[in-house]
Amino acid sequence: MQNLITILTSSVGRKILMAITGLSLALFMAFHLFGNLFLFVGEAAFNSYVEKLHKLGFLIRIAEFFLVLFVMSHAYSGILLWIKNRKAKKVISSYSKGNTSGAAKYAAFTGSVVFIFLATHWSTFWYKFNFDLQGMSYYYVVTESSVGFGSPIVSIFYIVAIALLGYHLKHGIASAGQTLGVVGTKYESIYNNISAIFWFWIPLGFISIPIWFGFIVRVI
Amino acid sequence: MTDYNLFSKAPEGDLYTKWENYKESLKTLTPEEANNYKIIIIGTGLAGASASATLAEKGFNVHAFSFHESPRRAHSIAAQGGINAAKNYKNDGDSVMRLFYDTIKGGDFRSREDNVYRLAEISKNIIDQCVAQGVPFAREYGGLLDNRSFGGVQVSRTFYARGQTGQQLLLGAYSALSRQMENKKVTFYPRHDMLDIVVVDGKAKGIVTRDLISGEVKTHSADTVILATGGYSNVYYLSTNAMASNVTANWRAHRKGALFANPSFTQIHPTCIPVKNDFQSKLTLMSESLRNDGRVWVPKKKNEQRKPIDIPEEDRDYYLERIYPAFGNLVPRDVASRRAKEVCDEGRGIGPTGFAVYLDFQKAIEEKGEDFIREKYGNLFDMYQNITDENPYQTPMKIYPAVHYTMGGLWVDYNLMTTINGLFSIGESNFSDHGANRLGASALMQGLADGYFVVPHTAMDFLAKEKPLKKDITDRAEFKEAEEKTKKEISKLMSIDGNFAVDEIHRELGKVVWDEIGMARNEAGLKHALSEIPKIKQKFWSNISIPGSEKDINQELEKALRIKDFIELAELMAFDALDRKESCGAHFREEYQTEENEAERNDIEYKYVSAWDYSENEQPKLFKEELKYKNVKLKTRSYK
Amino acid sequence: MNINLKVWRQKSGENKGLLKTYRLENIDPNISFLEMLDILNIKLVKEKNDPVAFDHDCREGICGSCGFMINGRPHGPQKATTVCQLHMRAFNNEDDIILEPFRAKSFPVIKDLSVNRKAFDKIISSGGYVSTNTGEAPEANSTIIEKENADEAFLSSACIGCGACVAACKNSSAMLFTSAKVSHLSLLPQGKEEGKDRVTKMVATMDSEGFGACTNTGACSAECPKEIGQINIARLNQEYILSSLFSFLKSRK
Repeated sequence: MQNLITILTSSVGRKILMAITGLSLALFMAFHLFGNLFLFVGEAAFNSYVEKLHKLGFLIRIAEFFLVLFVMSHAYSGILLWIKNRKAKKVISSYSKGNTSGAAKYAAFTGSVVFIFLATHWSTFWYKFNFDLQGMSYYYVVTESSVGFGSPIVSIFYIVAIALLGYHLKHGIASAGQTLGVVGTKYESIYNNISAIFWFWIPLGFISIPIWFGFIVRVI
Repeated sequence: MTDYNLFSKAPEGDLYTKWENYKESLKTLTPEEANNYKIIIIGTGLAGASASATLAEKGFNVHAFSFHESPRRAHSIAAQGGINAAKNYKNDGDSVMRLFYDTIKGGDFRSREDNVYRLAEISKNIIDQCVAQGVPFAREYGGLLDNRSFGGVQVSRTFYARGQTGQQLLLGAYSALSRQMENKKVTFYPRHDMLDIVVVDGKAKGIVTRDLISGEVKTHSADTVILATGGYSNVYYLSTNAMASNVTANWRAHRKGALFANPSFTQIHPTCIPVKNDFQSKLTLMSESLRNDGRVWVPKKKNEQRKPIDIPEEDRDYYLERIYPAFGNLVPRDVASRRAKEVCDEGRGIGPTGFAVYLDFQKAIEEKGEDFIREKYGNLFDMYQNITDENPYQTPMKIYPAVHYTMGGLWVDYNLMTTINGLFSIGESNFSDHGANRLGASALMQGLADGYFVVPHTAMDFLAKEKPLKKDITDRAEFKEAEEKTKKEISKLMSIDGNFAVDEIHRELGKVVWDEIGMARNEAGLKHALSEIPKIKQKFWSNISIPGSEKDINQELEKALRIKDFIELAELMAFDALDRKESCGAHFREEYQTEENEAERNDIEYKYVSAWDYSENEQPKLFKEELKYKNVKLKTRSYK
Repeated sequence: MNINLKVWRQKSGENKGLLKTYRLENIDPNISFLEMLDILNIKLVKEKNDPVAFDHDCREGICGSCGFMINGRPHGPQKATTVCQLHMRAFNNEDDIILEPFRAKSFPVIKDLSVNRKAFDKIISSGGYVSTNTGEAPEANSTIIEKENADEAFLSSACIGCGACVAACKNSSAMLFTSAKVSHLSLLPQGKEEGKDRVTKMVATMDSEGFGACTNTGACSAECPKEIGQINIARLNQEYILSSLFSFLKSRK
């Protein structure tokens, strides 16, 4: 067991942990978006979907527990590696011309922004949905309330954060493929094709909601 | 002055079973007993790394020294073409006997039968060993090892890893060495120059080193010392050797009593990229394997101004194919080199300096396709294009001979021990296996044979008869004296404060050595060299400049310590070449040639190894080891 | 051509360094970059100044000794080329050329452009070998190795250990170097046996030597003079995952 712990706390071990948690979170996003799209079907559909989820009760709490655990361990490993990497690079030459893509270079930064976003997301949407509905419908909370897209500031922050999340995933998913050893196998091209769904189409799906409910609907 | 009666110490008896029987007669030590002994190995190239690893596996405590930062930087890494082994995988009639004969003949009958036979025999084990280490040799589609043919032979027995065979073999030996470093059986001293041998009671018991970073001069003692310090081609200034390759360790041993054998046997490789300008720092070799598909030619008329592709077939002289119909472009290195010099001296050389010939792949590309050529030589072609800015797929390469390897080296007996008791010399640093000319793909073979399979046995036998020191004896007077001498020499060099950079003197020396002790030698030239070299020596000792301090990293001082020895060596080379009034292998004396301009050997008077003893103020003294040929008939080499 | 060099001068690891400017005139564009430095050094020696220290040896691009940053890029502007194989024709007349040592905590500066890459040797000695003693080897052709695998293994073992990957990496990670050796050996049957142990040991050494973690940016391969590919890193990861699973299953027993 000691051996296994040593293996998993090495730089490569931590990367594997980040890859697994990261990909799991990306899968969760797909599921999350599936629910969000009920907003476009209509108020009744969305509300009943949330109700149904709530009826699962205990199961949902377990899922949420893992969700938080994954986010935390992803962030924790990320921070540890970031510190290690800062130490390893002694002086960065002011003349250095990196060959690194932006998505990769700013992964830690985009990750941090996403983390802040998640914290506010939970303390607003999630908290309201679970404990502080005050008679509002779920649909209303999202589309009209001041913690939802009724506030242009929330909408803009949401759009920016999700866009950065997509950018984070652009590097993250490719990186996970490398870390999990998909690169160089026959699954590489399938993996790369699927990855675009996650870093481009799904974030686009999320963004479409504040754009529609936060701006377009209001203008029309 | 000691009188030496040079005797190889090879046992009597049947050539074919000699080594096996001898090996069985050698004394051995258990790993527990071996643990009492300390061995110093200088140099961690192919020979040094393989010997270090193997001796450590046997239980000895090895202290390995290198002027490089890591064993992986040794110049063995640059060998391109391949390594010979008498495996007969191609079923083309190869055998140990045939490899033995080719090597003796290739060396123009100036090497020792017993050593060469042993080399041929061991060649097979080397391949097994390297494959087991994970050396990625080229393979056929069936998954078996591939072979190619190499200059000077008519069978395919050369194993290769693209054009990077030396790299792959060295990395194999380096990995074995690294494993023993992890096991704590090898202590590696990076960036250390060996500056003297310490002899105690007639036996080599230690060394003096300079730490190239701190500048510290220090002594180390051990039960035996093994030199694996490579060749001295850099005496020519321009050679294909790495910039830091040097003769210093060998020369210091020579000054302490190790005879230096055949110093003038230096190999000129026929396929190198020609010199372009005065700032050139080194020459780059293009693997000899290129001659398998490339055809060597020059224009028929002098001062040809047309571009090579505009010169029609009838105006080209494929001189090697013309003179040597049987071997064609695959004649041995010395022959190919000398013929190139000859056509250039006639004024038919090409390029801006007139010292170059074409190596043309047009026919091979037409017949076998560009892809085939790319697969086989891609990296060499890329390298050529990078250096010269010309595309060899479209226009022929320009090549010219350059110094590449030195057959000469410290005299060793069958056990690879020098004339200093307890001092061994392995790999290129000794003289033993290649006679007057080395065949392609034989250097890697010899380095690894000595390191993996010969010296571990013979050094163990030597040590088994020695009482282990078990402690550091560097407080003895001999060590103190050697250390002081080295320090004095360093301060003397530092104090000169003249006007020339060491490199400038080196270039000057190189020009004299190349002109007079190069591809063709004659009495007048050699005498001229002997009168020029002392002037260079004088200039060196009175007018070089070494900025900085000796107690610090000082690359100019490192160079100066090496050039000092090169100057002395150059003199010895001239004496040796002057003494040998015959032409054999790479040693071509213009006075001794046939009517067809081939080398004229003189087996009656010169069938010996010249072994020179150092003398501080007088001429070096020559000792001779008569060569006996019991199993091969002496023949005039013919490649027609 | 004329050039303006800005060279990092640092007396030793303990001293602070700075960029010093040197101007060289009438440089032949066909000489190599290191020959240009030779000219500078001879000039400095003749002026009784300390010449620039830099590592170099074979000047054929194979020993891995040379390597420093030229205008912020390891080994300079030319793809798949070591410094020693770089020629002055890759630059323009009156160019400013900035030379600095490889920057990484695990590569301490020795002097000027020369750094200590001992950490690489440590990584290799922690597992980059097949454990076989001299004389134990079976007949070479008794092991048949698919040509494709042998060729792949060769490409991985073509690494020259120059350290450009570490210098190129924003994290100073030695992942490309380590993975090239892991790949080379794990692609061959001889090396498979110890594969799981090897990869964990080599990664542990890489970490303890202070190299950063790989964040899969690919900068290393882009700057590698021997074009060692990212696939090696994927292979190391595969080996590492297998090794963890193996160790997990073993701990359950």
